[in-house]
Amino acid sequence: MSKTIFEVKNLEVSVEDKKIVNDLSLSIKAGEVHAIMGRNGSGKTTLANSLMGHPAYTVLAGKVILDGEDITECSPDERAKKRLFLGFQYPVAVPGVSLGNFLRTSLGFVRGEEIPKKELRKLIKSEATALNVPDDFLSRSLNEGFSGGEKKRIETLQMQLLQPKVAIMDETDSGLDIDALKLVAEKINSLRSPDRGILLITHYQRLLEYIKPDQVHVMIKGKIVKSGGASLALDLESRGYDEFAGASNG
Amino acid sequence: MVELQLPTAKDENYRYVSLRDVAWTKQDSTTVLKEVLPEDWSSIDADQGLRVLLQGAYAKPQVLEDKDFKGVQLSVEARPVFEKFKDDFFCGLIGEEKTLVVKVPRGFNSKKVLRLSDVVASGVPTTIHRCVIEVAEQVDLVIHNDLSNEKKANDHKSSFVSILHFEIADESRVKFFIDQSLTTSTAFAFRHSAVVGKNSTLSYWGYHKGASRGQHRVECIVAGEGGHSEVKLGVRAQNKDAIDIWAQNYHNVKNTTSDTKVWNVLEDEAIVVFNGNIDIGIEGLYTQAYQSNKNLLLSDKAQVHSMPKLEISTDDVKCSHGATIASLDSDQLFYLQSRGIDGPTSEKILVDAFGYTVLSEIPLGSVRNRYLGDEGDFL
Repeated sequence: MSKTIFEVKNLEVSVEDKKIVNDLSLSIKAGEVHAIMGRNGSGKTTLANSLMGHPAYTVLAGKVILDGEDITECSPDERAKKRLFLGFQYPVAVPGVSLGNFLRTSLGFVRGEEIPKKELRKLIKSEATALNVPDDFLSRSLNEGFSGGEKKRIETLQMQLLQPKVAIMDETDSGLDIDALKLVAEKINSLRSPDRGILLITHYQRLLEYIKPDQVHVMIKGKIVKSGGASLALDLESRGYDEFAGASNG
Repeated sequence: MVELQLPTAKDENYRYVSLRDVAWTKQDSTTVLKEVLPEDWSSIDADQGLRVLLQGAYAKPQVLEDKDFKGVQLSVEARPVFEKFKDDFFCGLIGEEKTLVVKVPRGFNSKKVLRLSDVVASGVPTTIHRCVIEVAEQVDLVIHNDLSNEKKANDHKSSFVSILHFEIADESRVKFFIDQSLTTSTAFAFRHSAVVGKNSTLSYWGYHKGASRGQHRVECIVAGEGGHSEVKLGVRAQNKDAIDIWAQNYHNVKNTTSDTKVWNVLEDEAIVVFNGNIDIGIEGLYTQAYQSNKNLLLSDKAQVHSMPKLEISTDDVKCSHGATIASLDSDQLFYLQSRGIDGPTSEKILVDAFGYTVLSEIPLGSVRNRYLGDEGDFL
């Protein structure tokens, strides 16, 4: 039986004294893909950021456990070194830092060792090519001047390189055209393995056509109000979120 | 020792504080000019290349106050001692007042960067370097002015004064970069000016990190139609550093352009004052002039006083000026940290990135790499 690789226990999160995530629990077994679906403003991105340890989000209660270790108090870089990954919905631009050097620095920290330049260059270029990320992107400033779809491919590239135990992908499908969506989904699928968990956060069922989740959770007002199999996403698509909104009140 | 009196934002007479008094202080005769490239100058024939003469003439600089230009110019009265060098295009003049005059001939194209090194000697209270660079028509020139202290100068308080004037004739391009690695016990005062001729360009870069007190003043008169001046200055101030930056561009002929970018990174209790001015006279039709000052504060006790200004006396110009003062972006920090990069390294990356847009344009690879490391070299 698979072990639990990622667990969120009764998590409550506030931003500027406003509680956004409310008593949320989630358990992902190694090898599983879970999807959280919710309408705009339901707290999905707050959840994603707080799981990664964003200092602007205050954890009022609950725990986050990665591969058996409580990481609730860990800083974002400590979480990353423990192989938690967050693919951002809106990756922030950092002018003046080239993507190539950023990837090199990040890999050095996460792996905890200096990787020979030649080896690293080969690895980065190989993964970049597989994601249709052109060479010249690597010398450009991080996330600056890229289209939404290009940014998402760069997020996926980072996920591939960092080989996380648990990857949280926040609305990875937004901004992607059909071909790019298929490519990114293919990469996420390739990351599926018996010792890894994936948490997808999305509005739509579209992404789930390419990445079949083991479980789907419906999030309303900071709470998971319904969980089920992959078919739940189809239910949502046909019935909308309103039907589930009542559950959060009652 | 001459103490530089840095002005404050409240000082009404701010623009006339101190430098003139400092500049004309009689100096010790020990050293000013240590090196002028090309290193093999003595082997170059006067007809083919550069020639340096380090002594044997006398020059007397004068300060001229001119209402039209609102600036200071240097007037040099040179009297070559050696007759045979009198027509040379590159002639160093060092007399009692120690002024170097560089004459660059028409059509000269520097194959490599000319390096002007100033070394503040240990035990010398005030070192003054005066230099006039006269650039003839159709010249392409790159100069690096490198400032440092002599070894063992750390325990010695001293002042370094640099007075530099460019006179650029028509159709020429001059790139100049000055950076200092003076010790914290050294104060500096730069008074640099330029007159840019028709269809000519001056690209001026300056970078400061080290000295605890200083004033850097750059004034450009874009005097010829089609002329362009570009001034980029960066300051990394720490501890109780107090740095005063002036950047002024004057336009009083039509169809001229200028672009000034000043960025400052401040830590600890450092103070930086920025005064920027674009002054367009009544003849300055169709001028395009831009000025920006960006400041990154890394400490609650650091202070920036930013005063970008426009003075426009004509119509039909395009100008902008502005200033930003910010601390590190928390979302950028989070992004870097979410990729495993620890807090201090993330902060350093963002600080370096802040100056990247200026530093990455330094025309000298060796100097650029000094500040940017192997950024860009990886792939």
